[in-house]
Amino acid sequence: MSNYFFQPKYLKQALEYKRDYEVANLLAGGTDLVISMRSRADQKHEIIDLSKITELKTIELDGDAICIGSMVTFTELIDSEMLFDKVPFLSKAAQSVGAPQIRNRGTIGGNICNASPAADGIPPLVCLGAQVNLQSVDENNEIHNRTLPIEAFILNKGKTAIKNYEILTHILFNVPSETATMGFDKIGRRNALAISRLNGACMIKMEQQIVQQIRFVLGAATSKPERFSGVEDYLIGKELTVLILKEAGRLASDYVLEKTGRRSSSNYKLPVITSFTEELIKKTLKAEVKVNE
Amino acid sequence: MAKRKSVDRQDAYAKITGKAKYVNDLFFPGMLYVQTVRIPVAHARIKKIDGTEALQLNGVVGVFTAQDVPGINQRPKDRPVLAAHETKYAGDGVAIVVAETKEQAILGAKLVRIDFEELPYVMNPEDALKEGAPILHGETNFAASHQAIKGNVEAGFVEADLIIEREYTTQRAMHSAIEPDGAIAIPEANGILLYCPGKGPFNIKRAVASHCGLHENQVRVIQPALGGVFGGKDSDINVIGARVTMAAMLTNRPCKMIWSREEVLEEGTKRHPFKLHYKVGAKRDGKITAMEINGLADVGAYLTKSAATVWRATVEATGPYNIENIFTRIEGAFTNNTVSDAVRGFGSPQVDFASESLMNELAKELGLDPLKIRRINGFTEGSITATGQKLECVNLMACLDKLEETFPVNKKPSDVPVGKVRGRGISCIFRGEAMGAGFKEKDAAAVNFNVEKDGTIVVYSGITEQGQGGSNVVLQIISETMGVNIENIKMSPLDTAYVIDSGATVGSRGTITSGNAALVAANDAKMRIATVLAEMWKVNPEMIIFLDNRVFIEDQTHCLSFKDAVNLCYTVIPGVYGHGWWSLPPVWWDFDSNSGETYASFNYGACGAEVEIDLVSGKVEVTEVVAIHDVGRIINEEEAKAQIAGGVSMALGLALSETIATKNGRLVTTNFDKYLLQTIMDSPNITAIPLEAQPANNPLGVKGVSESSTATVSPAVFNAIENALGIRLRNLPADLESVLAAIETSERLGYLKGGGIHE
Repeated sequence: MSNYFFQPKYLKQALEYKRDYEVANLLAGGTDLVISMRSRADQKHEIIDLSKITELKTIELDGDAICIGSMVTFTELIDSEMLFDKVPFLSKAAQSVGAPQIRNRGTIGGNICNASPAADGIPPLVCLGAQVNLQSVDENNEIHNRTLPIEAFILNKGKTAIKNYEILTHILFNVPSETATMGFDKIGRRNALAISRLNGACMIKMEQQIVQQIRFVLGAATSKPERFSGVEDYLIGKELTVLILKEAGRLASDYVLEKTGRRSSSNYKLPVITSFTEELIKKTLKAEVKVNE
Repeated sequence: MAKRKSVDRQDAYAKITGKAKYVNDLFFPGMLYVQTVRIPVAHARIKKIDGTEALQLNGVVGVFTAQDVPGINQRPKDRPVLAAHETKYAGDGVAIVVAETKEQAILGAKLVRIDFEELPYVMNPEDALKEGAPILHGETNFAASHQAIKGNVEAGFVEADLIIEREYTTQRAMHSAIEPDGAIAIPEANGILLYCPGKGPFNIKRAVASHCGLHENQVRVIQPALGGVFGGKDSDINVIGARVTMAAMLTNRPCKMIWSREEVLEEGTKRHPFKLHYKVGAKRDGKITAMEINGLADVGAYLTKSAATVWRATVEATGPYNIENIFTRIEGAFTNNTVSDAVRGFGSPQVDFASESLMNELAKELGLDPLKIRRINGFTEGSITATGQKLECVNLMACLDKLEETFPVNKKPSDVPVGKVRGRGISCIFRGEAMGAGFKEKDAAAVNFNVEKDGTIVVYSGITEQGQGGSNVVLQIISETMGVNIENIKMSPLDTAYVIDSGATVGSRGTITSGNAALVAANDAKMRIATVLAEMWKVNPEMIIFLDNRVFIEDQTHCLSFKDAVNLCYTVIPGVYGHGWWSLPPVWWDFDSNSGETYASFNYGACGAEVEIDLVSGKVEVTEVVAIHDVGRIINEEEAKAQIAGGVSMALGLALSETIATKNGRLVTTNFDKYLLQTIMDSPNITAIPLEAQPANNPLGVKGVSESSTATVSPAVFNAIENALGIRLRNLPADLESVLAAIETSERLGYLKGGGIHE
C-alpha cells in the first residue's frame, strides 16, 4: 500500500509533510479514503494522518464568529451545545450522517474535501455562507493562509480548489441573526447508513409574514451542494402562501433539469425536488425562533 | 403442560465476549491462502489460462485450474469447482492462486492471464426460454418445473362471478450472513480435515470427497462457530471446501480461503427471483372457485437445489386456502445471473408475497374485508391442499383470531403527521415443515449422549448451531426429561468424526427432528438408570422420578443425587448413555399424478403491518408489525420470539430495500453500500407471537418457525401500502421510486386529496 504513514501532532508538521509529499493523501477520519484505497489497492501514496492534531479539533465562538476545526468529527458537532443553540440545522445534518461509527470517525473537513454532491455536512455550511481556511507552508517555513467561500471551494463532484500543498484547517461563519430560522432535511433509502438521494438546508428571516432573507441549498441535486438563487430571489419580499411555495418548488426543479439534463433518475428526482423544496421551506418556517437569553 | 422456562443459551457467552472461534479466527502452521480467479463477464469461453506471471510473484506456491481438480469437477448442470471450458456467470471461478500470504494470493490472482472469448448472455428467464437465446446447459435453458393440479380449473372459472388476473415479481436477494463464507483444509495422514461453517457438515463432506476424488471417510469436517446462515453456506461452502481441499492436496499444506464481501456478492448464491401470474375466480360471497398459477423462477447459472425450491413453491402457491379447482405450474430457467439457491424460506416468501397480495386484491374487487375473505376460504382441520393432501393440526383460524385481537386491520391509524399517510395490511400463510417429499431419504436426526462420572451429560447432535438456538433446544429437552440442570449438560463441537449424520439444518427442521431425537435419547438413558436403581430399591422402574438433579421415589424412602445415581450405575452396568433417533412421519410424491403427502406437517402464520408513507419522498416506514406463528408447542419462548423477530427484520429488507441489480451482465450491487439491509433505525415495533394452538403430530408437539417468519411480512407491508394509497404495487421491493409513482397516481386519481386516504 502506502510508502509512508505520517502521524504528526502539530499542524506545522503536517503542513511540512504536505509540502514535501504533495501527492500524499490526507487522512481526516478515513470513512471515504480507506474505502477508496481498498478498491484501488495498487495505488501507492503517502498518508498524512491528521487525527492527532488537537489544533484542528476545536469548536470556538468568538463574538459573532464561529470557527470549527477541520478535524472535528460529526459526533463532536452533534455534542456541541453551542452549535445546537446557534445553528441547529448543522447539528441535525451531522446527526443524519451514516451511523455512529461513521460519525465518530468522519470529520467535517473530510466531508468538505471529499466534495460529494450528497455530503450531508455541506448544505448548512453553504447556507451560512461559511468560509474555509486553507493553510500551507513554503520552503522558507513561512505559513500562508487563504480563505475561500465554501461554495467557491467546492468546484464539482469530487473536485475542490485545494492546492496539493494545502490543508483545510478550519471553517468559519458568523452566527445567524437571532430571528433567522433554519432547517435541514434529507431523503435516504433507509434511516441510517444512507447516502442522501436528496438533501437540503434552508435559512429564513421573516418580517411581518414577508421573507426578508432566505438562503436555500440543495445537495445531491446538481454536481455540488449549491444555493438556488432563482428560488431565493423569487421568494424575497413575498408572503409564503401555498401557491408561492409551489412555484418555488417548480423553480428548484426546473433549475436542476436545466443544470443536469434529463437522466434516468429524473423521473423520481424532479417531482421530489419540487415537493421537497416546499416542505423544507415550510419546516424551516416552523422551526423555533431562538428566544433571547 | 406447564409453560416452559426460557433458558439462556450456552453459546451466547462466548459469542458476546469474542471468545467464540470462527473459521477466520483459525490459523495453522504453514498455512497457505487461496484466492479465486474469475472472468469479469457474464458468459465466456475459456481459451487459455496462463499462470506463469503469477507463479513468478514472491510467495505464490501454485496456480491451479479445472484440470487440477482431483475428482469430479462438475456434475451435469451443476456448479463446477472451477469452470473448465466456459464460465456461465461473472462469479464463476476459473483458477485458484495459492500463496504464503493472503495479499500475495490476491496479487497473484490479478497476474493470472486469461485468454477468453466473450459469449452472448441472457439475464432474464423469459428471454432465456425464447428461441435463439444463448444456451447455458445442454439443449435448452429449461431447468425444472413442477405442477399441482386439482379438480377442473376451467369448470371452476365458469362457476365464478368474478375473475381477476394479476402478475407479481420478486427480486434477487441474499442471505447477508455477517460471516462471509470460508474454509480451511488441512492435509492429514489419510485424508483431509476441513474446518468450515455450514448447515450440513455431512453434505459438505460428501461434496468435497466427490470433487476431490476422496472416499467420504477421508474427509472430516469440524464446524467452528457459525456467523449466520439464513439458508446459505450450502452450495457455496461445497465449492469453497473443494477449492481449499484440492489446494491442500496439491501443496500438502493447510490452505485457507475466506471470501471477501464482494466475493460473496459476486459468486455466492441468492434467492430465486420469481415472476408469478395468478388468475383467480370467486363467487360474490368471497368463496374462491378456481385458481390458476403460472410461475417462472430465475435459476441463475447452475441448478443446485432449484428443482426442490420450485417444488415447494408449487405446493404452497395457492396460499392456505380451500380451493376445489387448481392448476399450478412453476418453471425455472437458467440465466447468466448468479446462482439461485436456498435462502431462508426456500420459495415460500415468493409465492406467499403473490398469493397474499392477490387475496387483498380479490377482497377489494368483491368489496370484502381482507380478514373475512381469508376466513371464508382458509384451511381448517381436514382441508385438502392443492396436491390432495388432507391436513391435520390446522391452526390457521387460531392465527387469524389472534391477529384480529392484536392487530385490528380496520383500525384507523391515529396521529398521522402532516405530509404522511398510513395504512394497515395483513397476510396469512401455511408452510410445509422440514424436507418434505421432494427428498427421498427419511427425514431423521440422531441425538446421543454419555453421562460422565461427575454427572455431566455430554451431548452429540448433528443439527448445527447457526445462531438460531438449535443446540439449546436439545439441551433443554434432555434437561427437562432427565431432571438435570442445563448447566450440567454440554453440547460437543460438531465434528463428522464422531457425530451422527442428522441431515442438514434446513427447512425449519432443527427443533422437530433433533428435539424429538433428544427426547428419545433422554428416555433411553432414564430407563437405563431406572432399571439399575429399581433392582436395588426393589421397586418398579416406572416409579422412579428424575427431578431437580435427584433420582428418587415418591415417598422419598429412596433418594440419590443424579451424580450418585450415575456412579452407582457404573458399578452395575458398563455405561450410562442415551441414544435417540427420530424421524418425521413418511411422506410421498407422485410425479405422474402431481399429488401426494408433501410434508408431514404444516405450520401456519398471520401477520399485520402498519406503514407510514412520506408523500414527498415515497419513503415507506413500517411502524408496526405483529407476527403470529403457530409453533405447535413452545420450547423456549424468548428464543421463539427472537427467531420470529429476526425473520421479520430480514423480510422487511425484502419488502423495502434489498435487491441485487445487474448491468450488462455484471453486478452493480457489489457490496453492502449498495445492497441495503434494514438497520435498527428502520426497525418497527415488532410484536412476535409464537402461538400454541393444537400441538403438532410429534412427541414434543413442535413445529418449525424459522422460515415462516420471513414469508408473511412483505405481502402485509404491500397490502398496507395499498391501504394507504389506494394503489397496488406488485413488484418487490417497494423502493422510493415505485412508491412515489404510486403516490403520483393516487393523487391524480384523487385518492389522496386532503392529505390522506383516511381523512
